[in-house]
Amino acid sequence: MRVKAIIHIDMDAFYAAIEQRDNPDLKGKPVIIGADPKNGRGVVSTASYEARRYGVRSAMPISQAYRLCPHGFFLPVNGEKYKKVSQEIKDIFYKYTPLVEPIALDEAFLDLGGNVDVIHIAKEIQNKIYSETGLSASIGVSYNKFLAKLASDWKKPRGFFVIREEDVKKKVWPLPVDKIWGVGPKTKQLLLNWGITTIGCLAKSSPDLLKSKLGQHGEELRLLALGIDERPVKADSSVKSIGKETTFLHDTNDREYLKTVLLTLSENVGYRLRKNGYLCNTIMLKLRNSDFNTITRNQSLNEPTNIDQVIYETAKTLLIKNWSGEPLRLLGISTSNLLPESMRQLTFFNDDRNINLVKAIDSIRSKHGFGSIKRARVLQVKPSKGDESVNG
Amino acid sequence: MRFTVSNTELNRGVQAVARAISPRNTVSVLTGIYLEAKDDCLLLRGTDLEIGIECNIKANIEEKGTTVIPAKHFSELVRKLPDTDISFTKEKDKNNIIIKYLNSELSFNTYDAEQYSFLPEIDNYCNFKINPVIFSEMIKQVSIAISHDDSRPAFTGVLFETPGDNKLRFVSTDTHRLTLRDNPLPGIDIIKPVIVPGKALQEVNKIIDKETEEITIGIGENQAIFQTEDIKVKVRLIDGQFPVYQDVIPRDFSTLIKVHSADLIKSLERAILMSYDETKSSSNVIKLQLEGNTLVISSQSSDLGYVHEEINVYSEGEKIEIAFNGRYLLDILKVIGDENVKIKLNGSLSPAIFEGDTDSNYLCLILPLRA
Repeated sequence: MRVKAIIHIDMDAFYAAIEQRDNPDLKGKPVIIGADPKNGRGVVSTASYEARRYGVRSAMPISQAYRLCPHGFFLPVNGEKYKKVSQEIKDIFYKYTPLVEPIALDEAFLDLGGNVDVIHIAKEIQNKIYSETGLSASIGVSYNKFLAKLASDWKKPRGFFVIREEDVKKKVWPLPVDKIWGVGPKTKQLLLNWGITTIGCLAKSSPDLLKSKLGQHGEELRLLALGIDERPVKADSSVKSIGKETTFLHDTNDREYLKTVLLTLSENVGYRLRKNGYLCNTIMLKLRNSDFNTITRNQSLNEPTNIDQVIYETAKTLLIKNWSGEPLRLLGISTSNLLPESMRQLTFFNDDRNINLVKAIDSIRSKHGFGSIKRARVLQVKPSKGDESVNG
Repeated sequence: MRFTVSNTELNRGVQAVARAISPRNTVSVLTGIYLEAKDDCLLLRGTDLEIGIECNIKANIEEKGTTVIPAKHFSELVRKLPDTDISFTKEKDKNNIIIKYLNSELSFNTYDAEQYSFLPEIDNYCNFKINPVIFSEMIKQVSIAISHDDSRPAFTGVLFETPGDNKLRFVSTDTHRLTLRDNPLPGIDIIKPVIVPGKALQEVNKIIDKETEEITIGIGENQAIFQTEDIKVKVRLIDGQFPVYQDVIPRDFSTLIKVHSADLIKSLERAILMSYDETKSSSNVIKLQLEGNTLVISSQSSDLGYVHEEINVYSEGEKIEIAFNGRYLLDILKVIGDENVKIKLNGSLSPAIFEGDTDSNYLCLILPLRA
């Protein structure tokens, strides 16, 4: 087997660090990025290390953050700006390897292959990020994703930590179980109940016990604890389609209702395209009638999009053209031929209202949740079980 | 009807009018070529009612008459006929036409000519004449920015107008770029601005004989006519509002670059090749960076790698970093027809103006990509 060299890069207090970089007055001050504390709702997105000293943490209600650190500098999330910086950082990664898997704007895995000088390269990447963007990153180096992520978290900020195969027992096993990616509060409690407190305990636990209590997930956790993680670093390209479909409680041929469902599907798909930074070139409509006969119809677009309204209009046209009027049990929309939205073509003579609208809605949803704002038309649709699909 | 025609003439006429015919037209008679034996010549017509082409060819007419022959097979057949005189005979009460050549004959079923329709005749034309080579160049230069999005018809056409100063102006835009081409035309009347369908215009360009002295263009209420000695192309105009393009053309610029077109084309072709993204289609994202007299052209792909090229240029004004769809840049450079090209810029979010170094009659605006 090829010896893998995987590094995990985690930007330090990314959003806050960008704001501090761009506004020297904020340097060394507690900076809290997130919702407006005056409105009292919403959460902290990122807190600078200075703010963390007051106990402010990501995902904490903004009102609580304000109580802990009333003299902090509270700033709104400037997504466009962070995305741009994130792209600059990604551009640095691609100079070293095509195998870059971004996890979020501030986090990515890189597979450096069988490179002998991994540590040197990882250091170089860390320095380059600092010299080109003025921002600090923590880097973890190891032979799989799980350990690389664990290593980057070892001593933030500006951390640099290497976990070798021989280090697992000495360095990793003493850590508490919830350091494992995938062990949330619920699983942690379960494990604690069986006396499993550290990663080492987990590694030595009986595979049968774990399997019987936690199923496949139990086995996965045990392997991780042993330092075994075969998940490959998937380059950006892995997503080929993003879709959503819904099965009705009762089959329906109510045209207006079907259109409304299409709108909710379009909103879901559009939101996920935008969140993941994609544009789609093709929109597919899926219909299934009461006899389980399924048809799918595609439409290519003149211009790639991730705008709800465009997805909806296209899907609606497909529905009108291809639906015989019989009762349906399932309706779905899938988008494919995805391309990264890293660059957007500017246009003349176009109405940007739709783009501005989704941007405004997205920013509300990113603070208060997807259901916090709705189009009036979709109020009549009760949430039903839908299958979201992301296919690679 | 009865006439004899040389195969050469017949071929010329049939191939010209067949361009306007759609074999999938739901009105079956319109899938045919209309033939009319007149006093001294044979008139051929083809149309889909958006564009209509007429051609008069020399023929020896023995008996006048009209008929419509299925275009697809007829035009194929005509191509394959021997190089000799061909004679046609159609009896009044029969619906087939007999075609004779050498010692052979064949019979074609025909459509009823009574059912045939064509773009209407209009008298009120505003006429002007233009050299066909210049006309062809104008079409080529504005064609790059014609949109193919039928949901916004005005953008699928070319604006014809006379902005004064005795010139004819063509404008096109697909909302990502805009082209404008002027040509001096002494004595031209002021015409009402009209939008001519881009597809039809490209057909006109293919049909007109560049050897003829001039072509006459007539602009009417709903139609434009392009006419040479024996070919007439009628085009139904697009009913719509062309955007106020003047508003988007910047008057000033903060950066000027002058670059050798051929050098830039080669660099861009390589950069586009290296911009293939993971979906295996070209993202065409090309970055241009000007620093002093060096223009850096770069692109990258997560699958392939990257390219970084430097070209020596003449420049004035501010340094700049800007990204474009490289295809758009290539399109314009290939039709600009000047050894050197001027690029005028106003920062990385405003349209770039491309002009020939010596020719001020043509300009193209390209909007950049933004991160």
